[in-house]
Amino acid sequence: MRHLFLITLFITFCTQVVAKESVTHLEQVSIQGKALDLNSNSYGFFKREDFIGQFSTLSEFLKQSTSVQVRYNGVGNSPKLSIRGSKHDQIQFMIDGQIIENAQYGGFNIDQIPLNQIESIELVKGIHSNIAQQAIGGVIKITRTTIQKNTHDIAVNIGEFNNRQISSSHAYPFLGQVLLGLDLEKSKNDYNTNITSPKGDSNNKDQIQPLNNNDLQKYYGHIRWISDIDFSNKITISHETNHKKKGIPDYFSNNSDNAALYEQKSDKTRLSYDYIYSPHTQIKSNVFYEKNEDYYSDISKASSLDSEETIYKYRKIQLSQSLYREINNLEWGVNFNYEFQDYEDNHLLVDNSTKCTSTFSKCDINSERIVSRYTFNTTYKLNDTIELLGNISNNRSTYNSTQIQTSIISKESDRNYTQWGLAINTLINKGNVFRLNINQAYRLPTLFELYGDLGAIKGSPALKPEKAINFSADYSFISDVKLDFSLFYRVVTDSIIANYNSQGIGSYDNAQSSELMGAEIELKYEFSDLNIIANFTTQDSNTTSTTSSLDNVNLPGVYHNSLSIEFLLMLNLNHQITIQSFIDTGLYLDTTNTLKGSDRNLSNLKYRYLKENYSLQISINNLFDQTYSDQSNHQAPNRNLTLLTTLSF
Amino acid sequence: MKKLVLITTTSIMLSGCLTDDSNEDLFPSALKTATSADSTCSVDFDMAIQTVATDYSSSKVALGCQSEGGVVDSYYSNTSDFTISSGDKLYHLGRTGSHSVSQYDYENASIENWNYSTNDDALETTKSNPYKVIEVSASKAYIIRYNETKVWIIDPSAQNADDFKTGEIDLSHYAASIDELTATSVEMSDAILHDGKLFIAMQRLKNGSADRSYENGSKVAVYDISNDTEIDTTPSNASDEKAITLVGANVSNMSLLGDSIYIASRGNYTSTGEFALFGALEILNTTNYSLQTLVSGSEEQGHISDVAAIADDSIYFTADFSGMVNDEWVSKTGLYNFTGSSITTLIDESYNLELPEIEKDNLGNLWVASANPSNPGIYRFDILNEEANLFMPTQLVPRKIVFRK
Repeated sequence: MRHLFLITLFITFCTQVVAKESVTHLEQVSIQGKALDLNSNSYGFFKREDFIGQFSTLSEFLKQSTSVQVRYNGVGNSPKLSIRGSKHDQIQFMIDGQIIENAQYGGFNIDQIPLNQIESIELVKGIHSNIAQQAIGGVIKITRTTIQKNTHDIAVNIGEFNNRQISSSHAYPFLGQVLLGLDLEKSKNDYNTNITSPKGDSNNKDQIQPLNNNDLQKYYGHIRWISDIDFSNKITISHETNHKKKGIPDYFSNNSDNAALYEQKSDKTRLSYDYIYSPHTQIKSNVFYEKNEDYYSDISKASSLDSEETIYKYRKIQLSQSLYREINNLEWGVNFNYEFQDYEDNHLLVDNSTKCTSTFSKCDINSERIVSRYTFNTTYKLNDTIELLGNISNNRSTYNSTQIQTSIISKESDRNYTQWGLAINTLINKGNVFRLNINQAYRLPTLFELYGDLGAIKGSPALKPEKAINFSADYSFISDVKLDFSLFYRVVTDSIIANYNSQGIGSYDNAQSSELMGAEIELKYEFSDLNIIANFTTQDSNTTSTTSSLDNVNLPGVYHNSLSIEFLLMLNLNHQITIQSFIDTGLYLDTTNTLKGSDRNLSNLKYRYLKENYSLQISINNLFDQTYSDQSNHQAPNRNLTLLTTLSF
Repeated sequence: MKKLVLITTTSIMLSGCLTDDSNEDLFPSALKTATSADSTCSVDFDMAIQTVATDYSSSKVALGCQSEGGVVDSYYSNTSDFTISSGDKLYHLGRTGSHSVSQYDYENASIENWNYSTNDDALETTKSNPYKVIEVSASKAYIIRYNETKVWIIDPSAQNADDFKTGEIDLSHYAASIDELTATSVEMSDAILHDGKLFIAMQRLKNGSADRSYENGSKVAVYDISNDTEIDTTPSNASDEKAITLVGANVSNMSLLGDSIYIASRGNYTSTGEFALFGALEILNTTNYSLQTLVSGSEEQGHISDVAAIADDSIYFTADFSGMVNDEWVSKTGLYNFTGSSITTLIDESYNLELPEIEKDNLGNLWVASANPSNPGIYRFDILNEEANLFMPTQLVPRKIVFRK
């Protein structure tokens, strides 16, 4: 309440400042109409100008969306997303049509592509005609930048905790167009945090100290050539390299000798061919190759009782072929996608002669997954007001895992399942859209869940995929006010949960089912110089399990109530002030609801200056210096300042 | 005598059942008919149960009363890696995540008396992993720390951290080594106080390399608590080491009865083949330090995992038979009674029950923790009167049971 009062006071003050500021009188220009906001709760399409120069990372941008939650695990680490109460690995992430997913451990790093390299972002909860894939939680589709020839974009981000980032995109004509993208980021991330038992003074508990060994270094490079043969034929060749080094802090004692780190290197090459037979018929072919090598080192035992030094290698080959056809009111597309992933690890500190010899001995493994996906999607315009959408895909996957030292192969596992979705969009009258969606989606078990580490984590080759039925009803009203209201309901069966015995030996089981029901509302109102966006999500969840402690509890890792409000005050054409407030409550950290997470009440204040091709934004994040915990129950950064500037020429 | 008659009768009945393939006959009626206890105590608490979520995401401590068999759950909630210990006071020990110990009075269990770190500030490592507190008096106790080579001597009545630690017992001469590497811990897993002596069990699984080794041998070191000096258990040979080397590898639990300590060692986690080590149930004489093997673990008998010695003819022990069944990891334990001359089965492993802990209380009862995920809880067996058997459900899976001394 106190914060709301201060915000209101601030807005009143700014409004008075604007009223009193002397202005240069310009020739009056009248603008007819305004751009339609076609986004809804179930589908969001965001263009480059919606996020460039305003946000540092993709996750920071996405958390503005209704019912999208982002929880961080320390600055620089991969954040976890939840869409309408889903888990992070129940969301499908795509870049330029490429499905991004780690077969061994699941999930993806939402912030792996710098925001400056992105042209558009699509967020789908359910199914949509633009996107063939679907997932339990939804799909996030990224399209890389396609800036015009001979243009250049540069963005610089400076923040506290020694955070420095420079990102640039350049386009040159060369037998078509060559795009170059570079991103360099360095941060010390030495923000103050609560240290439980500081090294050297372990009984002086819960001291606030700058965090040691939390440095981040990231280098990203991308080159893409797009041919200019003719209108019908387009060849694209691209290569991306990514190198990230992240220190792993010791949150317990903040030992200054701790040098634990995680280093990731990846190279991705893509070749695609688009053939436009006609505006109504298009064929796309893609070949994709990815190679990753990760290195984990914790000699000083910051994260565990034993020293560790391990290399992880994984590769991915993906082929896809799609055909799109439009005939009168009917659009349809078919897509075939073949994917091979393999994974290998090497525990460097363990002698090969002792690997895999007992349950708790380290074991090097090699595992593989092959997935074939056949997808058909269609959109049919029944008339001017009704549109029907359908999507069906069949997925076949094969897995196996091998102990490298012993050549023992775990039982091969096969999965074959079908996903489908149906939706109807209805334009009730001008400005009123109603949508119904129902879809069935799966999450495949990861190789780790299926085979463990062939040591203390045992495999469960018979593990079934998680299955969900989603139902949602959306209503959008567009007038002076834009209102989006949705009801959603999801049933998930065969949720995969870890299960350990008293010796610390564990495995994964399909141990739980859950129901989640929720409502979300977004309201946008534009005054002459003030825009207000408010969104609210409330969701209730309940689980069912034969394990008594997992039965009849709320889903963990999800805020069950979220409210955000944003005021965008346009002082004039060049100056903007934004005030945001986020309130999140109802979080449990663990599957048994024993540990309640802290509520989040955050406010941000931003000032932005815009002038033709230049913008400057100064942000005060966590304005009222609230103390709150991230998803690992570690204290998140307190109030901090960032400066973001972009230039196009 | 009454006990002997009952046990003999039970054995005869069960022997008849042992020849029958039906698992139902091997499942003791005591488990099926155990009465559910109240979730309240009208008397002071005098026992505690550490419970843990099946995915290790959280933990709780429940308090109870031995005589009534009541349990009040959720006294302390926390992240997962905690355990408990008891003397006259209750101790809550934070292990891999916390490395600290808190003390509580049973009479006023909602108030923490103190919380102190168990880490050596001067050392590079900050992961002591405390396992147990052994009280000597109101002003002296020992903390065994799994990830270290030194036992701490503490003053439980200390009013501040500076006065908490008063000394050390250095066990680094028992750290295992290989080539030029030496372990920085002895994996002390249990300790017992008896007749002015502290008996410390050490697993010695690490030898300085990055992997565990079950070949280093488990040992029991003995210390005189009046001056905290080591006692030579083989005084006739001054040149050999003073500790007792156990037959079984990977010592896990000890139980005192009279002048004897019964010791369970589980071996490794391999179920078959030449590399399998199944451990043993041994008896150590605390007067002359002689050691005798009572039961050897095997593929048929299982890995000997825990022991509760209630009477000379009632030495209860568990054996672990966990392993892969139809591509699924199944945790299963059998509960047995060593009568001195034979072994009787109380709970056959074929029921796929995980029994992570057995303990004896101050009243001569046997307590058994059941990790059945659909109905976790603890059983109290009155070995003289089956009708008095009780079952106390807990919200999370019980892992440790302690009683006020």
